[in-house]
Amino acid sequence: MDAREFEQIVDAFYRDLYRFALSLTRNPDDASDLTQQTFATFAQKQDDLRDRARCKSWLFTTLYRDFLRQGARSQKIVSMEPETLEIHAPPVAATGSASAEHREILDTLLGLEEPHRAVLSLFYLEDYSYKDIAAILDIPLGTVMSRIARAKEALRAAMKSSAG
Amino acid sequence: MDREQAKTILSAWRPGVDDPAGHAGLEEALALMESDPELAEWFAAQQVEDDAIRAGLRSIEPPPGLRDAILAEAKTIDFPAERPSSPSVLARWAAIAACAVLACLGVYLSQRPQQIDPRYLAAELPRLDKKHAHSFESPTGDLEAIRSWLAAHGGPSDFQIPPGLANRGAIGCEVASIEGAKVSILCFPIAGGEPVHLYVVARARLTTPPPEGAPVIATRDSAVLASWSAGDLSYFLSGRDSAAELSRFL
Repeated sequence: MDAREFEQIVDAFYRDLYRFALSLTRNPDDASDLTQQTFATFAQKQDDLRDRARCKSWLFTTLYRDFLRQGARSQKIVSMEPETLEIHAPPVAATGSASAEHREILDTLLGLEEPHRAVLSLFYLEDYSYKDIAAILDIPLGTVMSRIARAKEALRAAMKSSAG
Repeated sequence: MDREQAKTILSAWRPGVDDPAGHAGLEEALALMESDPELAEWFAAQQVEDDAIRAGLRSIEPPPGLRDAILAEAKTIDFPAERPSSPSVLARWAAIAACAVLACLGVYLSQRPQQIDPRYLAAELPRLDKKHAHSFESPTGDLEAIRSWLAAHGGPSDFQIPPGLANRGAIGCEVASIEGAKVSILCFPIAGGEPVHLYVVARARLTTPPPEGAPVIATRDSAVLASWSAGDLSYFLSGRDSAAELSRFL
């Protein structure tokens, strides 16, 4: 892989990787660091990853594992308080009423527990199949569907609660 | 399985993404949905809600400097400037042999029908809705003439028109080639509204065909798509109005 190919891969995936990272870390700075770190690992291991079709899956899997490792080393990422989330609220591209609606959805998602956030962001952002989600999160295939259903239920309940 | 159990299973299912085959519970829930209009209505509402959440999550933009930071960090990594040159004689012969093998493989693969991911097909449909030509148009709605024309151009022709679209007068049609698969496009003008388009493709050409039986309706962005399979064919009905509006044509 040359520098140009690397740049193409960055352009193709860095936005979605950042969105996934933000759903995990709930903090834009940590999400940026995690995304950057994932690409750095990718660049270093380029020779081990000759199958370009697997790039996307590899990037998401690596990012998630790095997140778990960091969480195990330090509680910094997973212990963000709601007040801190408010301060570090991510920029939302849309404008007008749609922006407010999107922001509300995002805030509600970020308020869920980590297993729910991870599975929902892959479910919604990436249109990954159950098999892909199982591989990235390293959980049994049978668990994926039930976890998605529970996570959606939790999201819906939280949205109702914040609306009411 | 009761309705509540089916809802739990269906809430985790995305038409066109997850193949129901092999998921016994999902197949049972889909079968129940076919016979339970209330469950089907609930599922359509779920799809609308899912689209809103998806749009919300996709509206997140990374910080402006992130891309540059990633690329700047990568500059410290030693990428090869160009591919190795001046191969040895042995390497050249090996390359020629490899080319011959690849050429044979290419011929073999080109003779096998390629399968399309229905997600790719679904993503293509809004573009086809707007851009397709009407190479053949029957002002009288002569369905047999349309079938003959589609068959002559390699498109599926032995299809069933959904009851809500039968006898709607002039139909435009075209055959498109998507990833090598011939897709018949039928354009139905709707009085006072946007036309709806029926896409028909051989079921065997899809990696994960839509389920057999009752159409599954999904909305994405401003497009509504109903998909189903029957016999050897898979159908995609695409419209720009609401799911309820599209249901009228099924």
